[in-house]
Amino acid sequence: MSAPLVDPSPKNAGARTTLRHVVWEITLACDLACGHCGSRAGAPRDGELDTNEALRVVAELAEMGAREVSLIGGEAYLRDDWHVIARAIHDAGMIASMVTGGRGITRERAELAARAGIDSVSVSVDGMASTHDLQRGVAGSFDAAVQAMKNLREAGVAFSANSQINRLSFAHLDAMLDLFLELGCHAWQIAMTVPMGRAAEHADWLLQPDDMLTVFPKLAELAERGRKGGLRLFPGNNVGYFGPYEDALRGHLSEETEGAYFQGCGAGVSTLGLEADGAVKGCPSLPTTSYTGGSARNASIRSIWETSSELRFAREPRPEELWGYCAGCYYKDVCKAGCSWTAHVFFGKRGNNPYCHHRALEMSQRGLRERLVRKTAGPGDPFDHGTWDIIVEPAAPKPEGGSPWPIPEVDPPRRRLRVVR
Amino acid sequence: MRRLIPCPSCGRHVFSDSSSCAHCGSSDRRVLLALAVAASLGAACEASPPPPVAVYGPPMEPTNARSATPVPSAVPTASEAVPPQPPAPVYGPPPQVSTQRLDTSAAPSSSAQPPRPPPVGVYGPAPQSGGIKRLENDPLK
Repeated sequence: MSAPLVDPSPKNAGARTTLRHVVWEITLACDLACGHCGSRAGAPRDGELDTNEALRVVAELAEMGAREVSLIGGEAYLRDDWHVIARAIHDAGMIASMVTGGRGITRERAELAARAGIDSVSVSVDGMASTHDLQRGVAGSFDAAVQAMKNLREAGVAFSANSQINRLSFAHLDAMLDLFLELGCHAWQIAMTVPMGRAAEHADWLLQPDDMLTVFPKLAELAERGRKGGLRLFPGNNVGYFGPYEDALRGHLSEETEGAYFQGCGAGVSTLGLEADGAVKGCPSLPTTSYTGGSARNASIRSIWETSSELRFAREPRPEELWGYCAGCYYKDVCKAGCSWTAHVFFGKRGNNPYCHHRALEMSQRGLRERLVRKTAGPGDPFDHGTWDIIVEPAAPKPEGGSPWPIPEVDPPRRRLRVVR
Repeated sequence: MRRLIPCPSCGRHVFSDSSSCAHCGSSDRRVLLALAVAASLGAACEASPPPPVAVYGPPMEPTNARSATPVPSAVPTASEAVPPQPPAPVYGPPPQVSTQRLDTSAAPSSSAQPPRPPPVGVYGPAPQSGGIKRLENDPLK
């Protein structure tokens, strides 16, 4: 085993590799059938950690100094012991949070979340009713998500929203913000839909690189409107980078981070991802095969965090890894091609990120745009991806007013799901 | 590490050792002043350790005082000399939540509970069988 990458002593508390945020898929069981689900959730994984193993993981994370542990799925509440794990996180002094589709956040579960000490629950909402239901694969799931927020509010649990930004949801963003403000969300995390898992089967849902020219002014407007209403818009790791709205989106999220800007992928730097069977990754979204550093079932998470090559890639400068546009970018030393997950699921490797506002602006100035075309589909496994070509071509003028792209026809899904478990 | 500041003219980030904005080309007095201040503060702090990362506690108060319009007018202050990392936790509690933990020892009083809403069941049965089963030695029982 090689020497630790991280000096764990208190004097090193400010090092770039300080673990802050753990995102933990505690089960892959799910009661939704989201068309953009990267993990293709539905049935539980084989060999998911049992309660005792999960509690041991909590103790390890606390010992490592993790600040927040977010329980996700699948659908986290489909594990019988979800609240026991949450309680252990809380009792260990860490922030316990949960991400949910909200379908089964009944009043009883909301009260259980409160008693378990969950600090906040983030409910996934991907558009207004018909658009959300289409993406989530279950008719009525939008109403359920809204009801979940109301139930959480009644139970005294703080709640936020999280949303996919894609061609379906874009037209609804203003209405969604109105809704979240009315319901009392304290934050709204947004992330671009990328072609992992089932999302790769919906190429027409995905934004094209030059759509960033339209999307980012809207996001900046939403951030400002949200701020005035007491809601913080959090850009996810794949929302960027360095256009004229970087400061508006990342520079004013807290007093502590005033003036912040994107400083590269946080996978394995400040973030750790855990899969339900104990697989440890630098980020929960990264493909399992290429990015699993070990299993929490048979190794200490600290040793995996400190020594595995699969987690350390983002800790050092890696100019040799950059290619395509990102290799020559003005921001390459800071941005390092942005979100590793996004680049990897498009092209099968890191180092060139097509979802970038700065890049789209530079292309536009030269009268060009980029277009992504799927070459091959994924094999159909959790966290799989296909391969895509990127085509540079003359920019087409955007229509004045209205949607800059054809909105796919939206019909409520007719499918009704068998509930897992 | 070279730090970045938003150009007061176009709002896009520029390296502090630049002599003018790499994007809009502006070299008016405000831009030059901002770059000069950032460069001097950056040089002064070059040997300093990276900023400590707040590991515990809720996220800080959001900044409301400053407009988030893309073109800032202020030059960097000393506190901006070392670029801060954006906050990582995105699912955590709101800043106004007290750091005092919820008292979980007492179950909610039945009188305080409003009537339960009707089941959200327009899409099929809610997953009642999973997630609320009590475990042996359930600490929340």
